[in-house]
Amino acid sequence: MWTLVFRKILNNKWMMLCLLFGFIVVVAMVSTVPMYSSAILQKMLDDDLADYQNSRSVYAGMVQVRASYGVYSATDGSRGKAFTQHDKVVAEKMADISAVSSTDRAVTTIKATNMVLTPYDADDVENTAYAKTTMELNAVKGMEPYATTIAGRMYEPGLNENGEYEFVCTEAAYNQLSLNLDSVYRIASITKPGEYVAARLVGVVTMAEGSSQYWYIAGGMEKYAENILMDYDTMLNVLFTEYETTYLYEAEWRMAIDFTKLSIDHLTPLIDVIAEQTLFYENTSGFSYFRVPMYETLVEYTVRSATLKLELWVILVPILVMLALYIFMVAKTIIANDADEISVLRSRGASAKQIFKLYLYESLVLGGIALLIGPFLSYFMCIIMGSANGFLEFIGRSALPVQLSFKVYLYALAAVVFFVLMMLIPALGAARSTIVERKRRHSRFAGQPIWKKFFLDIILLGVSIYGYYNYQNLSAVLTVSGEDAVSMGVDPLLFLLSSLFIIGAGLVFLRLYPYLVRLIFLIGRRRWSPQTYAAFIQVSRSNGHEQFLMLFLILSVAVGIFSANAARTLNQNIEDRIRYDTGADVVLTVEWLQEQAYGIDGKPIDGEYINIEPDFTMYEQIEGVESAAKVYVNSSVKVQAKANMSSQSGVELMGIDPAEFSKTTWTRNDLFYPYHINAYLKLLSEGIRGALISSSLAQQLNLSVGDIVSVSMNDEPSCEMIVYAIIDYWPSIQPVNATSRRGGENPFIICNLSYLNSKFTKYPYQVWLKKADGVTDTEIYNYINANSQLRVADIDYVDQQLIAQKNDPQLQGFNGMLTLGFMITMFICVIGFLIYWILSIRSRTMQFGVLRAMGMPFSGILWMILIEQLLISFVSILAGVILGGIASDMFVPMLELMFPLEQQVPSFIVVALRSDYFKVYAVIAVMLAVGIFVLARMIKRTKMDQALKLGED
Amino acid sequence: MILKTTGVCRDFHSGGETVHALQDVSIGVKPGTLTMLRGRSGSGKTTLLNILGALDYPSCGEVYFGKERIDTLPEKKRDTLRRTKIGFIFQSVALIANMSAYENVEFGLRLSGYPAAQRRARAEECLELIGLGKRKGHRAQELSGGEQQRVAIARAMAHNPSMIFADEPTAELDTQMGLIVVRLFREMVEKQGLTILMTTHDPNMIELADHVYELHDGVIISER
Repeated sequence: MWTLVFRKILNNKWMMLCLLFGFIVVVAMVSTVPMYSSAILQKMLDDDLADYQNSRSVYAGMVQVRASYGVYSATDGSRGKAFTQHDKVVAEKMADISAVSSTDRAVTTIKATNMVLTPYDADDVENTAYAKTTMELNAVKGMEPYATTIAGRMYEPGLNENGEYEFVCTEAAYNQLSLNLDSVYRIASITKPGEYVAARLVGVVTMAEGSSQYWYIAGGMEKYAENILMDYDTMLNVLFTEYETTYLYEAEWRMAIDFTKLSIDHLTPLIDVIAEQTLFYENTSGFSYFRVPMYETLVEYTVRSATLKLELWVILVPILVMLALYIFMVAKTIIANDADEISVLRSRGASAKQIFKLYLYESLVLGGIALLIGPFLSYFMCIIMGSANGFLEFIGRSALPVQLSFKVYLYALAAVVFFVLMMLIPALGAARSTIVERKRRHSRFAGQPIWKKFFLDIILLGVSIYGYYNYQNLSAVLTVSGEDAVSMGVDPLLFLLSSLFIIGAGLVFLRLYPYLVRLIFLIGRRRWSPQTYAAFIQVSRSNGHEQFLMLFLILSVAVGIFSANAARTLNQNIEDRIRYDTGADVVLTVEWLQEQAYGIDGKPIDGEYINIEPDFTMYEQIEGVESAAKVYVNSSVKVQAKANMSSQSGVELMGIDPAEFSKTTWTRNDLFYPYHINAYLKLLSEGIRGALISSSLAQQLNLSVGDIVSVSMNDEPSCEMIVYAIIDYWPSIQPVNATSRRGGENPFIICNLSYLNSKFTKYPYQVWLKKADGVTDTEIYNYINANSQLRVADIDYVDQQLIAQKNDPQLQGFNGMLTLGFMITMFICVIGFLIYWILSIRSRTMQFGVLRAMGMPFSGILWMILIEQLLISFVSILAGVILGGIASDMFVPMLELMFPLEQQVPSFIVVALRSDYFKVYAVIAVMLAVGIFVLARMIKRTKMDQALKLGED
Repeated sequence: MILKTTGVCRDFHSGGETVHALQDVSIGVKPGTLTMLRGRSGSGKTTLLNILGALDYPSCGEVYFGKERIDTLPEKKRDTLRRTKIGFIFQSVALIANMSAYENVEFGLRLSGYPAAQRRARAEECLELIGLGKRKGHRAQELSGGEQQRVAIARAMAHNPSMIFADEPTAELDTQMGLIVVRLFREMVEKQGLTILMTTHDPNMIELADHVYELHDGVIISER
């Protein structure tokens, strides 16, 4: 059997190779979903947890359990019993966590609080100053190797020869509690100072070398800045049990999870364990606290992981459909080629089952190879995805930690199984067919393809249009989209709908197209040249074989165009928002020098200083800067309308030099539609007292153009300005501020800086910079760094923010998968196109021979092929372009719904860059050109007489 | 003579070897006759037919169609020749699939430049002539082998070619059908004054020919 299989494969070399190729690509693409999402989320998780730690000074991977013993009776030993029980339980629980993550050892601390420490020989214990100082008695289990004594020695366990307990303290505590080394003290509860025990301070300790990790987990040595430390076993078993004055008050267990070793794919067990333990500790008496700070982050990541995977899948859907079509088409072709051989085998007694087995084995061989190679191809695909910065745009980034994991192979296996099954469907038919059925299939009355029969096209189209009109309701119902999507959540529903629409509409077109062709044919029936006539006949009567290719092309082009538009729009809007928010390429916060203020009498005024404005040319001359602008910002001024005396405080004010500002600020053409920002800047420059106010402010104070307002700020007397215009936006100002107290409106006023300077004290302004072309932020940074006289306190870079935004996994996944998907699609398109046409030509060599014999010139044959191409390939591409455009018009604007409400500025615009269309067209044009070239050569080479099987004698 | 060759030879080169398919063939075909080229498989009769029908070039010698020498004509002129003045009938029937009988014949007319207004009438006339008037709407693959061959004949003659070349037209038909076809040829020759040159290796057909050339190993060995 196996020899048969391999012989069969080798006989059909080229087609098998094409099939295998498609198979490998499918497996690879499916594998990218888990591979890529894991890689990118792992990177983000690592970064985020590190950030968490830096910003909150809490070890992200800390596990903390606390139990308090106040509820237990102090005298009957129940505390001790409870603690023993707790200790055992916590050890088990900690072990559970260690089982699913990488952890350091746990550190146990016990303490007794509200203790007082008094020198042993003090006479009047109750009234000494010490009596007022409470502190804690602590014991940290196993601390000794991690502390070194800087004075004295470490405590010994148990009571010493004098019957005293021994303790040590930190240097800070030594000073804080005014202790003396080697002195004896009384330790008693503050409630019963008379009942004390004797304890001697034997040493002062500090962290041992290299034990910072231990102390970090133990809570840091700072915890013991006001407390003393005793031997753990002594405290637990001797002190607490033998003397009734000192009781175990609280115990704490801490452990650290090494989050750098957390794998994004193995979060779930850890999350489950933590969740289970949270419940446990809550419901077990005695435990007062259980916390794993990074728990929420981990949960968030599993959600993110799911969302990202969903997004990738949805974008993948049309591509998988196309690959499925491709595989189906190739498999069918192979089977059609085999038809004769199969008939022979059948006639010699092979059963349908055996034939089927032949195909099964064949598929398994191909599937096996695909399974081996696919994930490796996937690896490279992930790298491509990782460097995508937009649709068909690439950027160098630090590497993604892409890994071939077991999960990836599972996905790959699933893909192999699915597509093997798919390939076997036509095989099933072939195995059972007889010659009669075969011939019948070629006849005019062969059955309709499945999708036509079941009206799949109408269904898909209907579903997508329904979804389109009810999108917002649907989004609310399916909670994956909308608010729940973390960060730049690209709505999977939107992409699913657009894919369904494109597939459905494409199929509808294919349903109607044959009629259209027939109509055109009939119209010109008389007048068509023979080439055209023959082409029409070929196209309209070949039983729909070409519909595979057509659907292919339509889908590829439409999805390509839609993807380009969606990606461009999304990326552009995200970019614009960032640019608008920042205001210019680089925004510097600058510190001014101050000098002593002098009174009129020439004597310095105590505590009063004057701001000295730096020489602005310094900033204009920064290397790489095209222009600079002074922008004074005050976020809380008071504006009062002169006419009705109503006022508004907390208004944002911006003082600018209109000319500078015009050259430096970022703007977009539709921002002040129908005007340009320069029109407003010009207004401002025409009158020194002019001001542009926000419509919210105008509304609030009932202002119109020409009204006078008085503006006061910084506790200085007010000045008057005239309203020159009322506007809605201004670069860097969010007119709607969800966090503002007014519940939405963020009023602002723009005026001339020179006017402000004449009326008010000068205050430091921001310096906005516009970079020259090709200048990087690093160059600016280096220059500023090297020139400290610029006194730059803070820098805001647009480019850096853009990069950070682009690194968001959802957005990256989006850009990456779209780009990769398009590239793969186009590649497969070329191959599918070539296969179809080469086979078509090959099978018609006899027909061409006849036509040549009948006197049709060679150019005529070419012309005929060209018309066929026009009717099949070209029309499909055109349909794809139109469909892609319609889908874009329908669905791309909906991307707006993804943006959070607070950030509606600048308004969402749909971007369709011609260059993107050209990219798509270019790829297609190349494909067609290559295809036609190959075909022409093929036809030319075919010798007429060979075609007609003449000369065989 | 409507067709004449002098000293035609044809060599095929493959893999360093040369096969002399035809050597010094000189034949002539008179108008209004049914001429047969007879010979066994490998005798070169099909090769000769190809050269005569401007489908192939001779390695040496001359071929005249009417007064015109055709083996030196440019490709385009040869195409025109085949299109307007010649009709072909092949052994393995070469109708255009997916076209009906009528459409096949009409297509031939279209290709040869027959005036559009008269195409329909002429096509139907030819189909009647071969006895398939009633089946003209059937697709090529729906006709039997014999019927298909007859449609091919109709197509070949529809545009009133000067000559019809037929390469083993009866080889894939049964004897009875084959005889019907050749009798049809005879009718065309006598009633319409067509000139037909056909190859065959069937000795029974010879009786119906006006002229027979016998080929053996690329050489004319007899003439009648």
